Amino acid sequence: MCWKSDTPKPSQSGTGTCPPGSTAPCPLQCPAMEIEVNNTTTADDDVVQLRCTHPAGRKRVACRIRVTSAPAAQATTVVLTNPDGRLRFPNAGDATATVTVPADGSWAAFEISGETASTALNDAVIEAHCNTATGATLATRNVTVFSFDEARMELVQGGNYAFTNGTYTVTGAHAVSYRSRARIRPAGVSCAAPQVSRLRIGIAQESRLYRHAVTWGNPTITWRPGVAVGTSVTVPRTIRQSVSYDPSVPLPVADSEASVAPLYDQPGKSGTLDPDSLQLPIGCQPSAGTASATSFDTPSHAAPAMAEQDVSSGGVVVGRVRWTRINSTRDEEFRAFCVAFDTSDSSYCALRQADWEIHIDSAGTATDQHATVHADVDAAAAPATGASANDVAHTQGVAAVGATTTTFTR
Amino acid sequence: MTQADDRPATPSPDIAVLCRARAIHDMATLRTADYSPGGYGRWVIALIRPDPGSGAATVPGAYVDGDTGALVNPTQADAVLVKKGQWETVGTSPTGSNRGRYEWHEALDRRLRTLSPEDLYSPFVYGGTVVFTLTAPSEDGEPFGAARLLFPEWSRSVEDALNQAPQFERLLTAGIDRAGYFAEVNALLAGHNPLTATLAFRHLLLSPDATLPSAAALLRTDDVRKLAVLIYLALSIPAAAHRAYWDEQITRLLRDTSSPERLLAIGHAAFAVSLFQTGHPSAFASAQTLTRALLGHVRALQIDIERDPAWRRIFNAVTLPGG
Repeated sequence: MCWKSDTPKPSQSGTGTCPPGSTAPCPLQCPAMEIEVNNTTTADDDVVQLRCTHPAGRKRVACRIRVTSAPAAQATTVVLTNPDGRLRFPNAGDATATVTVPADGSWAAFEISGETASTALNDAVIEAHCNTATGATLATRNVTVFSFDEARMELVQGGNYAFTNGTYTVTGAHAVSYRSRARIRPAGVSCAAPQVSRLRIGIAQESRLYRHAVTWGNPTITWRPGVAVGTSVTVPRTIRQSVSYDPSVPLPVADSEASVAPLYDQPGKSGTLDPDSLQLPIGCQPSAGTASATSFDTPSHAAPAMAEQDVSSGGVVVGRVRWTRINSTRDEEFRAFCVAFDTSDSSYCALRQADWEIHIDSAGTATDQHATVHADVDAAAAPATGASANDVAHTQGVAAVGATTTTFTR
Repeated sequence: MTQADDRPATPSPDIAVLCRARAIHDMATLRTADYSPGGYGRWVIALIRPDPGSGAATVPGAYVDGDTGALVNPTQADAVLVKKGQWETVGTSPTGSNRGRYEWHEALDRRLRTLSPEDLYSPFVYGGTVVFTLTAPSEDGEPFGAARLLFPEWSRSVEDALNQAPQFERLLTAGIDRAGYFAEVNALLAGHNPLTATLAFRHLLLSPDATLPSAAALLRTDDVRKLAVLIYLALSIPAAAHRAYWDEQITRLLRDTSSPERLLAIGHAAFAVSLFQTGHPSAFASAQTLTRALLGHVRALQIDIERDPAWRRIFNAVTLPGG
């Protein structure tokens, strides 16, 4: 039914008509409306980030719709659609959304997420339809689904491991250096939009394997004063300390530090390694910059030059045995990720990944004892999260190596 | 039968280079506030004499059963690193303490994300002259606070500087607008105390006055230890605005220097920056560049670097890939 001709008519933009003389609001007539993205009038922030695959997730942008000439006759049922398929409202299965828009001109809220990347600015369209998805178009709003391309997670092999007093490490260089970068697309997306300005390109890392060992041999003894001449003791000729992740630790584990988590590194924190470990995306850097986020890693462990232990005879300590270091080994495997990091909630999306490993032995050729790095590829899984590699349970023990012994006689 | 040698081993050349690097770092970064009466506690300058087993790994409570040769660990304890020895005051000390012993254990299963100066050279394992404050023992039993290795020849200078610290800090925090500021800072730079000159130099490097001629002139000092510390600061501190200036000053100094001792001091400083400033990309890069330039200069002067293992250690890093 429709309004009588002498009754003030509500605002309408529907294309339907009603029989003359009708006395009830015409269901085919819907009022004109307006849509805002990010709940602002400005168009510069009409952007939404492309959904993430690793880890799976969607950044949601708050939107709203309202009647432009309130009051309407009644609340209006509006169906939101996106003909180009670049958006969702906001979950994967929400190709459309139905919203009830109040008659009094107040806003009705909805959310969008990015399903497919835009190839040009503003090529995604939100359409508001009267009552059904095919009803009259009451309002439209253009949106850009921004994404990243030309992402790289570059690894650079560093120096060789050697003993520096009681530490097995690389000095005067790093074991490996990182360079992480990505470009925001499409060109011209507003870097000042909050959805963009809070993003940085950074580095995440996980560890899949960790063990190290220190082996000592060539024992000598210092007898305690008063030990009788002729007293004999037998000691292991070689002993070894072995350290690894506890078998209960699920792998891979995040390689991070409390103040910079969930990333491998961040600037301005107590655990910062590199002050340039976060960078604006290329396309948002000043002066058309192309700088990479950088950091480095030099996994190290204590490898004391000596090991000592009391030795007993007949249940009485008669001396102290000292072994000297023979060698140390380290086996460790990592995966580093180029990520788009949201500084507002510390979430990230992995873009590229690259593996590197250390399989070193101080007894080997000196120039062979270094990290081995591999080329980067598209991210294939989400980086490990949770407890960091330095904080998870480790198993360590010291044991004799083999059955060979040495006998000392006072 | 082999007896253990109970005498502390003579440090290898490699350890000597690391010792020098640590002293350069510690003197360059010393903060008098760490030793003021209102700070941590009262300070001591002492000679550290590690016990023969200091720096060894051991399993607390474990032993070798000499009758069977088995390694017995009744409590399944983890191996630890032992630091133990004696300390004896050098000069005077406001604490009144003259000597003492130390012993503490450090975990050995640490997966080290970063290295501290103590990880690279420990005076509590290899010896040295250290300034520290006596504090309540930490969780692992270490009783020393703000421990810094110094050149033994600087013991008196450090003592004097710490005794004068309140006046010194008042001067440097008074601001450049205060009458007499520049005259007093220049007096410190030109003074006989290498530590107070170092502190004044560091203060200037951190301020807009970083390019004062008197500061740059300080690099021409004849004191090779002071020179090494100042080079370390000139490589480490300058912000982007002043870095090119100080890189140029150091380059000129290198070009004008032919003394092997002074060149070695420059090398020690660059090595120390490469060792301790890995998280400061521009300082690290400046140090690497300087080391390469030093190598070329030393070769041009036909200085026999093979005769001194310190040169080999210093130049080792720049020949490595990615270094």
